[in-house]
Amino acid sequence: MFYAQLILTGLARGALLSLAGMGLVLTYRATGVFNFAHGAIGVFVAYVLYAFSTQWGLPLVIAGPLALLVVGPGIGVLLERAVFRPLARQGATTTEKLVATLGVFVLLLGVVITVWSGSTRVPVKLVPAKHLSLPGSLDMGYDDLANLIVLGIACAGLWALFRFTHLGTEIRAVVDRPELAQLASVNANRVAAIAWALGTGFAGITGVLLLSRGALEPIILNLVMIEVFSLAVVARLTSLPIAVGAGLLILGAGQSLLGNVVIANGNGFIGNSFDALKPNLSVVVLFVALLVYKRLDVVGEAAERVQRLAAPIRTSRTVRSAIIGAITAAALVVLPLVLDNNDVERAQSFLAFSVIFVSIVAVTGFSGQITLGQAGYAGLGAWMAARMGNAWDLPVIVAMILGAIVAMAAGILTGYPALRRRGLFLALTTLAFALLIFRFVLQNKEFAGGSDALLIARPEWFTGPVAFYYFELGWLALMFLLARNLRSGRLGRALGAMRDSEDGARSIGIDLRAYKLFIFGASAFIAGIGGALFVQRAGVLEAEQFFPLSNLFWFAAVVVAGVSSIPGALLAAFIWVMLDIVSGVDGLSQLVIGAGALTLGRLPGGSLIGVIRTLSDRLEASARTTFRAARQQQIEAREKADLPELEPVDVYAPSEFASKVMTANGRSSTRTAGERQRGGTR
Amino acid sequence: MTELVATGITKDFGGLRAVDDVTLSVPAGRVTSLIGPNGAGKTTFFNCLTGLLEPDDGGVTFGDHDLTVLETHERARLGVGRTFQRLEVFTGLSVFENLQVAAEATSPGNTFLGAFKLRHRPDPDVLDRVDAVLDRLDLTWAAPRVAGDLPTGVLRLVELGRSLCTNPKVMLLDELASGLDEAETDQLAAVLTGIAADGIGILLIEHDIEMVLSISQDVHVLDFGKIIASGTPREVVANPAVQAAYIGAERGEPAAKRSGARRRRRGAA
Repeated sequence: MFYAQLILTGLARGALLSLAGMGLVLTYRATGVFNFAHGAIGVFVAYVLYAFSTQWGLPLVIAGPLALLVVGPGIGVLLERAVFRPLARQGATTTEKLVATLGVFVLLLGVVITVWSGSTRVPVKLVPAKHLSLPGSLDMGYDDLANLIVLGIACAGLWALFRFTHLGTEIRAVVDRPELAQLASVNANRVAAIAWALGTGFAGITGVLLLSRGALEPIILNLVMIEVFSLAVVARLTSLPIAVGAGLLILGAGQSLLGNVVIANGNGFIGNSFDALKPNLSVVVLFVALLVYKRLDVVGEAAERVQRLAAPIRTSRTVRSAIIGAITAAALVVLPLVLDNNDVERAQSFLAFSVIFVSIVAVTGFSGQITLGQAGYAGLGAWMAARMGNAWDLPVIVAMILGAIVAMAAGILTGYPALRRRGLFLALTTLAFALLIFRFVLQNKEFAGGSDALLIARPEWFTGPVAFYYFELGWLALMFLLARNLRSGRLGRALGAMRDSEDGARSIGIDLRAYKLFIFGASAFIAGIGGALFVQRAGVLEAEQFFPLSNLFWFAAVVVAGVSSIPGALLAAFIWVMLDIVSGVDGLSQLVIGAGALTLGRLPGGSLIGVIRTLSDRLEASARTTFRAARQQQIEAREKADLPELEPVDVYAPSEFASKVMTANGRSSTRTAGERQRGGTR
Repeated sequence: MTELVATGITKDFGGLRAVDDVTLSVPAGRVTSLIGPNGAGKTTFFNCLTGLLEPDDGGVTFGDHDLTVLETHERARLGVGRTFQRLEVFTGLSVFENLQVAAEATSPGNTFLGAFKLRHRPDPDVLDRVDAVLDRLDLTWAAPRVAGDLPTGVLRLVELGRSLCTNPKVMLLDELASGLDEAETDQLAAVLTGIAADGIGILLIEHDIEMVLSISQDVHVLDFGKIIASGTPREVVANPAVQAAYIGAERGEPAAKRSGARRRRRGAA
């Protein structure tokens, strides 16, 4: 009976996951959007219910339906209307939609944390905490029963919707053959809105029911959502029945049973590793499914490009960017001398993140591969450096480099799945990798050396706050140099070619496999260095520093700041680490990142860096016009006065300094005319 | 002289046979054209030749090499160049760089060492090659422009130039003239004739029949995935089956049926 009880409890939990999984798959099938914000929406609805019921004192009979049946689906309708319909109209790529859902994720969590201060609260319970005694001395909580009933109602409702109603037929038509459905005058917008409403509605119900069991806390449910992702992937993002079945059987009953397996002699390496595996069946399922499936059913992904996220590569430097670069560098050098110790520590964090973000720029901006796995590489690099340094008594710098090399090897390994994957599929695969590292390496007691945190030493001569700051700055400079090399010259052109058109690159003899593995390896190396700096700064290594969901924030931050340029990494790190502190507004960074991710396509230049560049281009142009007009007047005045003629100055010709910079850069002087007139999103 | 020979190429998409047992050869120094109505399977056939698609049956040889087992980039390095109907230009690079990267991809040297270099000096041979091709195609004016900002007609030439920079022995050109005006088409025809005269084999997919007839030595007609006629331009034009394929598609009674099938085919392609 013990096992029957386990299965029963497992099924009840699995039912909720299934419900959320159905929502995710439904939205994806009907709209082609894989909603990374699914968990955040569930959290948000749970907090809204809390606000209605506990804070405003509405009775549950009103607050419950209002939150679950109005707010939850309402979010979906709103998102469809305000965000994803315009995106679809612009012909957005899967990548752009992915970034938009990351924006929703960041915004909603930001709202939750800002409004409810992120603290733990007592959740609203919709179901009384009673128990039901079943025959065979089985026992079932009302809440467990409720889960199963809700799933049953949802399944029956969907079945009836698809089977008996005209609307259901329309949805099926859109899902099966969007073009034909359009010809048959099916209102695709309405279908999309319904699919969104159902998706977020299910997410809301899941959020409320799941969070009612413990404490109301935003991060837990977002981790649960990873389990939901694995369901959706097992269902190949298409099949509702498989999603439900896998939820009930694998993540419900299977996980519940596995959690109670005790292996003999369970304290050694194997035992500890198995302990790490136990609560994490979903991670394994996700990773295996991603590796096994050659491709997912990818809706509307005929021509997948990151292109539109990534602005053209600017190889030649203008005087302006040289000056800005010099000023930034000087500021970074002087900064610790004028800050107090507290602020220096923040600046250290900023530098460590800059390094990690450079790794995202390298892989996504320069070569077009999406990654949600950088926290995994950074964590692996940091952890390997610490362990190898301790075990072999190595100097810190040597250990760092070795750790980064291990991260690089992991990067090359995960580059393999990237050979045949793009867009969403690649994003999920890299995210699954970060999860694996988090669960099985960083959280593994065996690996962590018997305690939950590893103490990390700083390198010998750089232990003081200011000295360590310069140590980091030195590494940042090195990584900048490496990244610069990744986009210049022959290598940069080949990577850029791969980014812009994979078929085109192959057709001129570029071996994509080598370049993809290379760029994943190089990026993981940079991330590994960044991770090591990050834990040296903190003095300890804890698994939570490389929380897998951080990847979603990081990627969104870098894309919003400007994924195609190295300064974008700096800007992203500034927003991520400093903006709240500098502005004094809590949550401003999340607001900027979230709102930016939602409006990316509408920003001039396609990113914040792009906006800055566009603005300064305009300023420069107007300054030139003014200068020219003044010069012209001068010339005319001289002509009138019958003075010797002045030679007209071509203000568009590069200055002496600029041409030096440019010729040092090879032939790029021929390119500057084109550089100048650029400025659009492409 | 290297000849590209395709034997019995067959490609299915689901239940649909897009290319059906196509055999043809592209001799060096000649212009061979492949014509046929939209959706006849021409581009699919090209993709099978370059390895972007794996044919269900049939093989491709190139001189002494069996291309069937090679990947796209390996075929390109052996000298099989191509352009794309649906443009595959490197939109973020300048026109010059588009050609440069192609020339570099087929010249010796380890690209990855660039990650550790302080200075990136382009190979003078590569630059010369690019300049020569730009000159030949009259594209020098566009060299510094970012490819993504240029009109389709120019980009087709950029793709041609990009392919030329790989020093190909045979070129597969997919609807190169579409988007060009009459004068430009004439100019292009002259360029292609010149390329063939250099000993490069050209296989041309083209809808501009006049251009096809004026520059090609051999013409093959593809319809519903099958070659329905082959021969000199004059023979092919006189062929009643060819006339039926073209006029039948234009007149429209079977067109409803045909375009339905084609839509599916193109979707699959």
